[in-house]
Amino acid sequence: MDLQYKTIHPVKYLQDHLEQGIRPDGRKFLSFRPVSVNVSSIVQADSSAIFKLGDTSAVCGIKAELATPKADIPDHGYIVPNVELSPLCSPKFRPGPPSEQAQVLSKLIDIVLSNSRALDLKDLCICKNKLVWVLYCDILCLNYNGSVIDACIGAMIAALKTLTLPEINYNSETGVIVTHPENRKAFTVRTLPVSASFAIFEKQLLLVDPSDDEEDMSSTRFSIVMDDEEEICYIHKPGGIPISQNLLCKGLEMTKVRAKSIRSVINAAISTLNVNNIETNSPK
Amino acid sequence: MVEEDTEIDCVLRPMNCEINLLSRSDGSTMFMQGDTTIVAGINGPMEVKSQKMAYDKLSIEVTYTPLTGPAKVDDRLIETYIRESCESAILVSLHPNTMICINLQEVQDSGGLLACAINASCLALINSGLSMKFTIAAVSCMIEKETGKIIMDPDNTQLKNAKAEFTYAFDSINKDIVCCHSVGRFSQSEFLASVDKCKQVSQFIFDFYREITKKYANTV
Amino acid sequence: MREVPLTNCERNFVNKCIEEETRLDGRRLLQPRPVKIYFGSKWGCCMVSLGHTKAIAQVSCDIRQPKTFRPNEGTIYINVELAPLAAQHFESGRQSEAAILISRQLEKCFKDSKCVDLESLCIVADKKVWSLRIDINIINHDGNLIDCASIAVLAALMHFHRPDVTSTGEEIIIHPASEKDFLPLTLFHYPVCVSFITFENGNTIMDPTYIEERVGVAELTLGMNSYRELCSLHFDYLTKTMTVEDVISAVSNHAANYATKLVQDIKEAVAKDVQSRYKKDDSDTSRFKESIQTNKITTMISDHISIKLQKWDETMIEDHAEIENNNKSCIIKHEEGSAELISVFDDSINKEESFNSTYDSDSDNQCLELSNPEKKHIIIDLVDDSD
Repeated sequence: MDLQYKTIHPVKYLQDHLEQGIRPDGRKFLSFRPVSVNVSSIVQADSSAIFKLGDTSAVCGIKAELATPKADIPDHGYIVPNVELSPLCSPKFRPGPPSEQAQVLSKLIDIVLSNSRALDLKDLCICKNKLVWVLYCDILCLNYNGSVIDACIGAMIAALKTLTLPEINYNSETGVIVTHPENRKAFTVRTLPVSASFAIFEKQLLLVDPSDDEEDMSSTRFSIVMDDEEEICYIHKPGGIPISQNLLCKGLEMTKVRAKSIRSVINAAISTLNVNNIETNSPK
Repeated sequence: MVEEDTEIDCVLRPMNCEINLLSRSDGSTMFMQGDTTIVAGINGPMEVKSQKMAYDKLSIEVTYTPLTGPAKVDDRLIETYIRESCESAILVSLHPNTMICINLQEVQDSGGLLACAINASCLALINSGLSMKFTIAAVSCMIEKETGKIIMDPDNTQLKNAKAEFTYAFDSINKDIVCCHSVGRFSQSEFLASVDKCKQVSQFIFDFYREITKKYANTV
Repeated sequence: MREVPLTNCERNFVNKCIEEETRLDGRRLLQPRPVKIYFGSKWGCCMVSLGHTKAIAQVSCDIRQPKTFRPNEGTIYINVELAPLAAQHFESGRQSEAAILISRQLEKCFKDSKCVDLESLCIVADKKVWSLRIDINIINHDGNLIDCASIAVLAALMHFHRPDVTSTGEEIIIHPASEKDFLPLTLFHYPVCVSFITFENGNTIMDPTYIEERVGVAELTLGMNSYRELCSLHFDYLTKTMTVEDVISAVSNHAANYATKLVQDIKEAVAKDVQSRYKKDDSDTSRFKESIQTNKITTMISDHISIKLQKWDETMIEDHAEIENNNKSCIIKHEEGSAELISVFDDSINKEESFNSTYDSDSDNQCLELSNPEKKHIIIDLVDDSD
């Protein structure tokens, strides 16, 4: 009965739920979905992570390559985030070149990275004017069920946090590059920006961590990204109905708490990995 | 606190505009804030391609063309901001099964491009005569790196020592936030302070819309 | 949206007018529309209006590796963008045939006629050269895009100044404007395009408008420089017709005269703007701002707006910390680099054991369990969201 009702009257279905003070998936208005993180999931990538936010899941793989820097910024490496929304994650998307939404998501993640200054691009420089690292962060959404930006940022940050780069010896006179793949150095990530998304319905009703259906039917959405020091890295509200400042403040408070817990999950996931590595390495 | 302390001076760059300058668009404007210039043109409501058709509302297509180079990912973001902001302002249910095109051309960027683009699209919408729920005004501001002072409507040279830059758009009725974009890191109190200032400044942009509309509407 | 088809009334009317040697906008047959040029605040940026047709050109440069067969020459790339802003039937995104045609004609006129000294753009032979990129954006299409675009390209090229570089063998230093003055490009000659349209009755007009372009039967574009030399030529029938006689010889003299005068005007406009920049005198310039006339009813010019704002009072922030959120959550660590954050209800905290066992049955984790049967959950942290 529930499913038929949802298919025939999607809007009323949601409204009826909201009137009862509950959301269709049984959450309260201000409760987030459970999160699970797995780091180093893909062996071939230089580092990787899977981030699940309820049903929404995203996987990020980072591949480091060598390149020559641009002439005007000779000591900066590059980081290239790219989000892929394939038909796999939702019937909304078609195969082919990246959709507008995927492009916007990639750009948003790029903005978050540069705003938060989580990484110093100078760390990626091997030899000034000659050789730098390029980090290709490919983020693939596996299941699209709302708040995808949170999942994408989570996956990317977890992957960046575990990134190790092989040692490179570059002879600037002969131009010979010697790679030591076994000698990997950890890469410093200065801060862990965490994003939280919100949806607003009529009469300024705030829902946190909306699912896809809720996002579609909401009047407006916004996302807040915060870093370790509770500084805001990005506030993204593309449009939709006007909302009052109080609502944004409420969102800020919620993000603070949420960011703390997500950060501890990511750190917890990384800590188990390190323990594991030591355990397996020690007998040898 | 002394009475005088409750007021601060700030200067906005001169706003200039010409409306109806394009002969091929249904509504158009060239909007300048200081040196930052955007040309915006509106076409529609008109027939819509079937895959973009919405049975219950007007669909909005935004095309933003940068001054140099091929279309980049950055432009998609500006298009998203403008589309979603305008969608909230236009009475979209009045024209079902049709679409309008908002076409923007960057002419010159010297700071506050997004704000200028939003204002230009709103002014072009007013000029095109589409029914709107409210008008929107976008204001940009920045926080200076050393002093932590909030500077309204900064230009390129000022933006070089910015710690954070904000762009807000407000609606004309309640002055609530329609869209919000930020660059850089900042604290919560800095954020709230900047919203408050921009909200006050937005009134001057609404006044500007009113003046220009009054000027030509009297003779039309 | 497709282009609106031309009605027979319009076609007949325009043909009739041309027959009687009058035009819709009152011009004589071989009279061009007025040209206005405005410059931007950056080097190499200008907006040109030819009647209602408007185009914006911007020249930009960066350092690239040269082509292998021309190791000591810079490169030029001309790109014409026909966005929906110009006319609704243009599509954004991919380049249309019309845009490619205009780009190619401009390339013939500017690149193939070698009007820019490309050798002066070389920094280190075979390694680094300046690569010029000219973007032309049409913002309003009222016919004769090619003439308008060519004027914009010429004005932008003449106006453009590139940064100075010093090459120290290995490295090159790009000097900002504060260290060394920017250098103008060297142009050998100054070509512009002049277009004509021939009608059914054999009459030829100069500088056609949009509707005249659609009615005409043959088009001719001559690229002429100020020395009356021909740089490019494009002639095309627009419909099946045999009526067009020798247009080229009939109009080429007129085109050369007009091109000489036009180039002279462009030179003066550019020189005036460049002078005012060097003198830092902004009193009598033609920048974008001046394109807005003060006395029109559709324009509005304002000065700097000084305003007083009320100071932000921090005490005004209401306390929003009281979010009723009793969600407690805990973090479960798995091995193999996994961790989860799940919300728990108050009663389940007391019986962690049972909670974990219910969690184990979760299908999400079955793979992990198989590979790692004696997996332990470690609850490391209890996060209480309510504070």
